[in-house]
Amino acid sequence: MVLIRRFRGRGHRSSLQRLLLLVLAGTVAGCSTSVLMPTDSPPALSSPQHHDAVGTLLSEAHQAMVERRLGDAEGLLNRAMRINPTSPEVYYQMALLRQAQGRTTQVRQLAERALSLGPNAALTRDIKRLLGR
Amino acid sequence: MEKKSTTKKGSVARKRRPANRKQQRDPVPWKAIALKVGLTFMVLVGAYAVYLDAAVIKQFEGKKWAIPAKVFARPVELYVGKKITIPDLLAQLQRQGYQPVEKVSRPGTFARNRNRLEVYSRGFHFPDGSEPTRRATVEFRNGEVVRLTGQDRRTLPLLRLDPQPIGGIFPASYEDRLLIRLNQTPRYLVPALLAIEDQDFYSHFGLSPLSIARAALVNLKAGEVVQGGSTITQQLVKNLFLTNERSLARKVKEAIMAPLLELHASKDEILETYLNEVYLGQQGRRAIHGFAMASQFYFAQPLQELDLARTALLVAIVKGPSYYDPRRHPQRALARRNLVLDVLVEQAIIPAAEASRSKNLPLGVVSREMVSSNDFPAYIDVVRAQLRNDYNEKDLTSEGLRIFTNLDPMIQRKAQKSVTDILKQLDSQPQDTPLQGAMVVSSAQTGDLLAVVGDRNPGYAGFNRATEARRPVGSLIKPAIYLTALERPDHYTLTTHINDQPLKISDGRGGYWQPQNYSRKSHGKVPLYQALAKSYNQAAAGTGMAVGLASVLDTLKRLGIEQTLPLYPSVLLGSSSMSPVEITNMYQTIASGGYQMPLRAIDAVVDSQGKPLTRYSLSVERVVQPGPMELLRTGLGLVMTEGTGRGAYQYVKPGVALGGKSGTTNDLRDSWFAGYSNDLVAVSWVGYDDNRPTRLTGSSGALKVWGHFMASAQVQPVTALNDSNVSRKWVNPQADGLSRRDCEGARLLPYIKGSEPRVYRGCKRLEKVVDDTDAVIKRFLEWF
Repeated sequence: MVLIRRFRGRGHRSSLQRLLLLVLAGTVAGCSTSVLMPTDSPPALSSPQHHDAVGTLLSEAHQAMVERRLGDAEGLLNRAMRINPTSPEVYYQMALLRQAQGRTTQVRQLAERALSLGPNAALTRDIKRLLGR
Repeated sequence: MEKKSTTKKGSVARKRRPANRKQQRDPVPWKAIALKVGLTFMVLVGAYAVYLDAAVIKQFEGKKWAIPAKVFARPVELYVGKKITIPDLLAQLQRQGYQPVEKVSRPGTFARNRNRLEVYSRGFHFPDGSEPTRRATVEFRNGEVVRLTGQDRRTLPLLRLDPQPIGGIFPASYEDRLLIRLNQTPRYLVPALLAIEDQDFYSHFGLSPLSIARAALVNLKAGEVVQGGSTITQQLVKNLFLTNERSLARKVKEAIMAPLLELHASKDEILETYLNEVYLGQQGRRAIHGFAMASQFYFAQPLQELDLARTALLVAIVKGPSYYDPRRHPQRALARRNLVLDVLVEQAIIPAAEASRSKNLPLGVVSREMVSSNDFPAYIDVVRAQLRNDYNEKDLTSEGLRIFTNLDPMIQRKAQKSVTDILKQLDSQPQDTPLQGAMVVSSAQTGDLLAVVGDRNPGYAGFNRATEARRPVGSLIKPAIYLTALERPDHYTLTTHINDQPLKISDGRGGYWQPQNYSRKSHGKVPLYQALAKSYNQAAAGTGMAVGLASVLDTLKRLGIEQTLPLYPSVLLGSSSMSPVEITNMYQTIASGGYQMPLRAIDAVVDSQGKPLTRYSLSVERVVQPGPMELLRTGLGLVMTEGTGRGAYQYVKPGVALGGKSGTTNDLRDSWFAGYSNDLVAVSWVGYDDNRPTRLTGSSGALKVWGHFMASAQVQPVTALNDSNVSRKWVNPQADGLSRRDCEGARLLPYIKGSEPRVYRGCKRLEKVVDDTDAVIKRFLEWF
């Protein structure tokens, strides 16, 4: 989200989307939901390449967050969580959403929860960055 | 001047007297009187009409109805990997009014071909956006979705069905309705309604003498009352503004108001209002109003999906919802439906062949149980309680809010079935007040409340034992004692030997408390995990006192028990009373690995236009560190494999790791079981309402309900928590020392780093023979 804000400030919409995709791809790469997202030529977020349920919902939630439709993003992440309630990616995204909502206590709690669910190395780095470690 | 004038007037009067006499002899001036009376009457009628006009404007243009809040279950979502059997999905589709067909061609239908199901889902506006209708093919293997494709045969990541309506929050009038627009009605509804109720609707001014004459003729021809003489406008006026009283005064009012309404509203507005107002059925206190609600009530289908035969049936019912009730009087309803179809042919609205085809169709009405407005009363209770904290009653019963809950209809039915079926088995003999039960199920990782059973009888809307029955919880409290101990790794590990021996503790009220074991035997020094697994009371009480009563109460609070418990030692063995929902809170924290999260019955509330009002979002708080929690969860796993919970594997496939704890209270009055898998937390209670002894322990009563449910819900095994501060060692637990994997009795157990046993104690098995014998006998007895 720090990166999102920085880029929003410069007004680079397409660059922002591309970067978000990279961040998302980084966070979900290698995860159990087998997100299919090439990092070299990211597709537009409006046509997600994910073929699995959680990956699709994560993409849609991310897009909703980009468009500041935070309520929709929450609904989508809740759905993802119901499908895979032990996915660290989903909790990480939820933590990012709470950050966007300004609910700082929950950012920490959800990020800690994501860490406790055995994220891969890349996601661990992102979560720790979010936690300021 | 005045006098003069008076005199003059007097003389004129005298002079005219003969003429006056003549006038008096003339006949009464009826014309003048009639004119005056007529004028007065017209003025009065005019004034009355102005008054009625104001009433019409006020009521028609204002809010016409109180629309109850509609409560929805969680929608079924299908995706590859989803655990669901074909029979479960078919049953759910049919409960939602999906029609089985040979080939799907419209929303709300499905076709089955062996392990493949083609579904044409309905569109729905969810709080997170609209879901379009989708035509998808779902393939199943071994109770799991293995392939999901869309209409273009490409992989579809998700298919979300429309949610099942599960109830409403009604106003005092108990009127239930769903609003619909005129352009949303099925093709034949308006033509059929006008053909039967008001043929000149679009040409009359609110009253129709022609209609009355024609209705009389048709009725004479048919030999029964087929048509009414009142126009739709008159019927609407009667329903909206007047009473059912049969009086001339009411008829006059109706005759004045109908043209007034026509002055203020367009024909389409009047018709649309009528479609939403008309009374079409009754279910207990709940009155079904409007065609859209009636369609759900009789067919469990949205109105838009109705075919000609069903449309005709609804039109047929208008004349007398009670007399033509298709559930109570199917023959009458069928005859009138066919009569409606005949009228449609006569009026050239449909061809005769189509009417003939429709006449051969059955009524298509679903059972009352399937569309019960309150199928899950115990769950709705919880929803209502939560809503009342955030909304006022008037908004809930009149603003048409839509409440999206976390109720999983399939889990709820399985939970109810387990309570109902197992209690039938447990009933030793027929009794006046039967054994009762309750169950609560939640999602282990998120706290979503999935099911609430408050009575052994499905659909019973009385005393909700899941939320209102507070009973002593017995040994369900013990995990809090051992967790408090395990949070002190310097003093306690799973293999620390604790004393199971008689003890005498001041009860804090001037007396002494001397807890006994269930078997009335003490077991001496036993490993902590064994004391937990076998639920030894003396060991638990001793450990609780050793770690401190206040610390145990603090742990209970952290685990989610909100009520303030008294600082008495007997609390350690569960003398405090709690409801199944409170216990679910506590075990939820354990199941999620140490995160406290409020149970969430509601997901979101939106207004009548679909605008989100409240979202009940996930919030988590770590209250127990993963290390001690992993140790406790290991202990609770051992309860299931070799302790008081092992009976669960009579139902659940052995090898599926579970965690749980039994609870039994004094004189066997309450039988509890609380436990979890990786995905579900479930708490069951069995007992009598009048608190009589049940002759059941937690293991021989509530555990059976729990096990039956967990087996039917296809649960996922518990997995170990990730924590770098935990190491696993092969140990000889009876000697609290290190051992080897190949040693008899050696176990692989987790320890907080630094607290592992350091001394090698070999392979020797020190367990007392008497304990084994005791265990075998107990195991045998528990099943009787």
